[in-house]
Amino acid sequence: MKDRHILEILDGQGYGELAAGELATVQAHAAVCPDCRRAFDAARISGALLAARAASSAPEPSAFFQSKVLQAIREKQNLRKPIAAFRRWWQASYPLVCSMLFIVVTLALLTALAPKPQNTQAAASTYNLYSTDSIILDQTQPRSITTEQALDVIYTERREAVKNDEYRKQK
Amino acid sequence: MADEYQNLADADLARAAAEGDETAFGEIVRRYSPRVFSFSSRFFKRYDLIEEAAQEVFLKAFTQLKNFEGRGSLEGWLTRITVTTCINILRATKPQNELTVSDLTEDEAVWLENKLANVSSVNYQNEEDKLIAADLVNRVLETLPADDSLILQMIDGEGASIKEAAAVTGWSESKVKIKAFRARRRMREAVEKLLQAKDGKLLKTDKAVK
Repeated sequence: MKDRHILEILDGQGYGELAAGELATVQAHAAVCPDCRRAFDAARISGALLAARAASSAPEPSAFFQSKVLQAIREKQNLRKPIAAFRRWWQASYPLVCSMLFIVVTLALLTALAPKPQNTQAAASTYNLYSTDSIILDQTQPRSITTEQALDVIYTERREAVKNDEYRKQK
Repeated sequence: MADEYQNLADADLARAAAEGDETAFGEIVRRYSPRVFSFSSRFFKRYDLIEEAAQEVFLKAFTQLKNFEGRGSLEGWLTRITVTTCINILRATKPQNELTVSDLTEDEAVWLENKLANVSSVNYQNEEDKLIAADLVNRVLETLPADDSLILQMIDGEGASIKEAAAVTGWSESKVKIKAFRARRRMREAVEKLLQAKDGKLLKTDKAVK
């Protein structure tokens, strides 16, 4: 069983920093306690290892390190350029794009919500398809209209025109 | 042109570099790369990793130069960036497994034995002895969290004061004290495990020799 007091002395400061009194206390206890003896040895070894680490010289940067760093900075800046250009474009065109989007959405909504053509309008458009003018100007669709159908349309219109004239005269 | 920059003060260099002057930043790199390498080497053993970390430090410094207000020294500012960058790199990588006796070479086991016999001496008799110690300490430190390793190397290895360690890391003095206490305990426990296992290893070697 390790003595907590001994461990606190060992962990409280580096082995080299232990005061003479503390060292004597730890050594005296370590002489009779195998567990604390091992902890004491480990603390001494740790101190020796850390001293060895401090004694080893740090590596020097290579002659090319400076140019490597500057090259990396240039590459990073080049990577950022397209993003920056897009950001500038977006800032400039943001109001225009938004207003265009607004118009498109409004038109789409109006188209969806507007009332559909009624039957009378549909009939009128069908009638217009076969009007005398369209037959004479050859704008009839479909072109497969028969001569009888054409004459029928012409005579019907003619009859209506005559009726309208008579009505006006009576008035 | 570069000579002009060599005579400039740190604050002027930092100001010029923040405005995009590449030559000024090049001079900062030339001036402080040895220190950044020195600090990075406390975290990494391999040269390529040290260089990679140092490059990352200078890239960060370049992008953050505008935030450098010039209150402290440029050297101190760069050192703090080095410490945080290295700790972040190490935290992002997979944590190191515990060092076990099977990882301990015979030379290292013998080195431990010799140190136990004559531990009061930390003078290394020969280059081979130094290399064995350097390799062993690197491997022990790798098993510890990055900040523990840094604190131990600074305070117990290089003899830095709590105040100096606090200035370098940007931590409070009480945090440094607590970290140093915990780091010593972790390292001592790691070494204790090695010592426990070492005896068996030496025993096996003796049997093999016989």
